[in-house]
Amino acid sequence: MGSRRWLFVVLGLASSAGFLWLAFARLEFDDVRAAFRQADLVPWLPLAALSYLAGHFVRGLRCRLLASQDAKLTTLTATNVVVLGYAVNNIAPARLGEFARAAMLTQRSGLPYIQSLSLTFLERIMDGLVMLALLAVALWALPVGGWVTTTMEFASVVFGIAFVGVLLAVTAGDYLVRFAGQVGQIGGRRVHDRLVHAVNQAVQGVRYLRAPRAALVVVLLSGIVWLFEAGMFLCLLPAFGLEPSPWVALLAMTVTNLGILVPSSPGFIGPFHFFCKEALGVVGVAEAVGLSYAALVHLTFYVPITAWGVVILLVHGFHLSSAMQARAAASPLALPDLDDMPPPPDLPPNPEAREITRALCEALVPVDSLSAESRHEVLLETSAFVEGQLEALPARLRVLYQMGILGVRLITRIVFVRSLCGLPLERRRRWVEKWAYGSFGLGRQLFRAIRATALLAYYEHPLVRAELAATTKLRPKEASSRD
Amino acid sequence: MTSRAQVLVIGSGAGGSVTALELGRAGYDVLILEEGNRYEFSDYGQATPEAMRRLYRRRGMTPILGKVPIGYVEGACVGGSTEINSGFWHRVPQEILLRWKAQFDLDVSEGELGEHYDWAEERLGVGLWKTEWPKSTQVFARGIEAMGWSYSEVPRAAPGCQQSNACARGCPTGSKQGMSRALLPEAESHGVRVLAGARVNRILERSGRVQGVVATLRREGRNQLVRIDAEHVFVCCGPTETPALLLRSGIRFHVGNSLRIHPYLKVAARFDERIDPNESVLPLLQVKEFWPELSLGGGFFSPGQLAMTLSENWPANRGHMADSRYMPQYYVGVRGTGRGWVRPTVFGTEGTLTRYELSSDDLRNLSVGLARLSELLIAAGAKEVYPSVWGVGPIRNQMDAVRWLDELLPKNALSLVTVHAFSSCPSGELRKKCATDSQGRVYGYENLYLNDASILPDSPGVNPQATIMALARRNTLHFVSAS
Ligand SMILES: Cc1cc2nc3c(=O)[nH]c(=O)nc-3n(C[C@H](O)[C@H](O)[C@H](O)COP(=O)(O)OP(=O)(O)OC[C@H]3O[C@@H](n4cnc5c(N)ncnc54)[C@H](O)[C@@H]3O)c2cc1C
Repeated sequence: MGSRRWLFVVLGLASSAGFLWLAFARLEFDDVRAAFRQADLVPWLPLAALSYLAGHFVRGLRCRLLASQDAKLTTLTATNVVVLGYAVNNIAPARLGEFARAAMLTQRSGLPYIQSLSLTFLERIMDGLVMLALLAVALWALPVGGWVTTTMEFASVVFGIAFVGVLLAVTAGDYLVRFAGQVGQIGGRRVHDRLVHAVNQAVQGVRYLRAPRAALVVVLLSGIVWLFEAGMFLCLLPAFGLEPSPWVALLAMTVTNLGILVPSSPGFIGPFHFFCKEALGVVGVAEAVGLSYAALVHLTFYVPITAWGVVILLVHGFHLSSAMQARAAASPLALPDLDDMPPPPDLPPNPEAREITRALCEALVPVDSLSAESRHEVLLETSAFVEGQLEALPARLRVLYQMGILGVRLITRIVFVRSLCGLPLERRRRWVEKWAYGSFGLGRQLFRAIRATALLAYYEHPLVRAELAATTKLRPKEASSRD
Repeated sequence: MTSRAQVLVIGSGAGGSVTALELGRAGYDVLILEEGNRYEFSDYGQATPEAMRRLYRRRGMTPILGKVPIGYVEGACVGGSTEINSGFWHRVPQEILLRWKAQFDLDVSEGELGEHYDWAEERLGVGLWKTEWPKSTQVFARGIEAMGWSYSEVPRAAPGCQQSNACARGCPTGSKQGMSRALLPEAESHGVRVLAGARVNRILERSGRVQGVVATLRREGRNQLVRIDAEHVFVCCGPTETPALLLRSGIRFHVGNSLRIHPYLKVAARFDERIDPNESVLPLLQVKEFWPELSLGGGFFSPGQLAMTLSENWPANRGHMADSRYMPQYYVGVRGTGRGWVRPTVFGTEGTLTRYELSSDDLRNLSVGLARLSELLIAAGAKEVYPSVWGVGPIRNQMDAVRWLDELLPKNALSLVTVHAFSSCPSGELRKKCATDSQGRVYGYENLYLNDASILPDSPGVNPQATIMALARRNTLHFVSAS
């Protein structure tokens, strides 16, 4: 993962923790427990889940229509695409779900990835706009103000700008591409080409909306999507003995969905609970009930879709790596000048060996008659090679190796009350050999990579080979008698 | 908007080079994308650690997992594995071709392939050893004759071999005909372009048509992600990377589920007479008596390799390193009837996981093979034979050897290796088993072809390079004539 993405993940986790703290800070847990105990789950919970899932089928229908100019999808496939996006967002950080969804759409439909991504982006904007409209309705019906109105104003600006962008892309796509070309030229050929490529694909993505009727259908479907989602919020109100007010459900749904736009952990844990509880607080619902309600809505939102998504991942064998790969591919691609390409640089040299690798190598290679200086040189190069080899192991084996060696180090501490690296060489050698060649199979497996590469590098070193050549002048019978 | 080539060939090994050459000769605009670097002969023949760093995939750390992990290496440089192989040359026996016909409906006959074998043999100067056999071969021949078994000298693609014993480190004299020497220069003279340091991450396809690829160009300073479009794409990334690339790209039909290998058990033998295996080419004979299930032959030698073979019982064996001039290495190879698979790792675009489970026949054949090879070596005068099996001490006489005719080697104590993998995307007309048709066209795609070790329908039982090249040429000429 690049450092920017790491930052995003860490920021998300921190924000989740922050919101969880905000949500729970002033709360009596006994009250929450009591609220849960008294909740009526049947029939409200299944109804809520049904409403939420129905919303996803409508999302699938909308996705199918938006892609229909370039790809033929069934509604079920399109729904799977949509669900996959939600499910991956629930289990993976950094909104990877958006990319996974676009990747699956590309895979299933053959659409270029950027186009799939701009479709996803377009759906998001439609969702935002519809949600703002629904929030406005809720605010009109409910006498609330304060931070909710401020949130709405802020969101209006963000989605307003995005809406203008979409409008431009729909109505004046060609101008937009040309404009991108002119602006891109300032940055040189590469920037120009990339920008034009990206804008062009985005314009392709919104092509479906050029027909007014089609645009209307998509807006209507977006409305239905969110009404179904509001249905989930609505169904769970009576579960906690709250009045099933459609306006309160609309308010809770819109505020929660706008709230989870802030970076957070996978599954929006934290912001979801906080914003949902706060929205109910505005209409006078007690904190403990509000939070219990939020937790139940979150479960309804999380569990069925994640399970469905996992089934898709398994059935279609969709790899998260495809999503990550596709995300990389989504950054507009450079256009290599194939005829004027410098040769690649040499591959990375051996890394510097860690202390533990040096200590193990020293214990694994045989005693020899090299001078101290030569032996030092041989060991340095051997352990650097071994370190490079260990780093090159497939990630899974690397992790197993590291964990195993950690275990060996811990046991060493317990047995000798000293670190492995600090053991005197002779004792370390005997100890390491017990692991590497002893009767404990797992130990042998653990040491196989390091012992084989250490011996290989050692015996291939010119200084050792020279020594070996000198000593093997003896006849083997004489040589073996020295064993 | 993107860089283009009429035909992209991914990978420049045995399959890729033949494909590119024939397409170039037919006048196509061909671009080879090769992940590894390109080296001069002067870069070859370096010490094993350095050669592994430069020429091997993941520095040679690509084990095949399973209940018995198997060491596996392949090349990752211009020329692929042909740059580091020993150039042994075998035509696939008719019996195997008939079995491929029966089991996979592979539409190819011995007569048809003959022309392409002839072509490759002429290009690569395939022939028998011209002067006196080296010592390691002589003692082997002595043993075989003492046993009265049939054998043959295996021709090699190394005319004028100067016995630098550097096959696995890249032949520094240029005698061994790796593709970088044998075919690629000629391909380039026909206009084929070779882009080294270009790893293809993903094939872009849409509704059964491949549009191009996304590749990472490794260049000084930073890696560049690029898109290259093409009318036709030939994937020739080798037996493990071809299925991994297809799966990463969402192409799954019978891809990666049927990896086959030839598992090898290495043994070292200690003679009284000086053999100096380090100063000659590896043993040139193969015992055919027990073929196709079992073959016995000569292995690479260097002090480091010997140490690895002896390392399974190192505390007992290490003293023999001083006898390395008296200790050539041999192997037991079995046809491999177990099953394996290849998968890309979930995260990242570089990792590939491979798995193979030895069948009970494999284990039986390895045990019998060890018995036979030990009998042979002892008959040839070996004082001791050291199998790379933990806990199995030196075999000193015929009595020790025949034990393995009746007993099975302990599975979890085996240390196996292989350099022959194939069949991960079998070809043939039987759609319920095969990933491509008989000419390598991927089912369901009009312009995507595979042309490397992955398309051999099943284990050939002999060294595979000749068959890979012959099939690749036949398929390419078919493509040329069909289009
Ligand atoms: C040490 C060793 C000894 C051997 N000895 C013999 C022998 O004596 N006789 C014999 O017949 N066979 C031998 N073999 C096997 C033989 O060399 C291979 O079977 C044969 O080369 C396979 O051909 P290929 O085209 O399938 O793959 P390769 O020759 O391995 O070529 C694949 C190429 O594709 C490239 N590549 C992979 N993925 C990508 C990607 N995503 N993007 C761009 N490029 C990519 C790789 O870097 C590589 O250069 C040996 C192999 C090894 C490793």
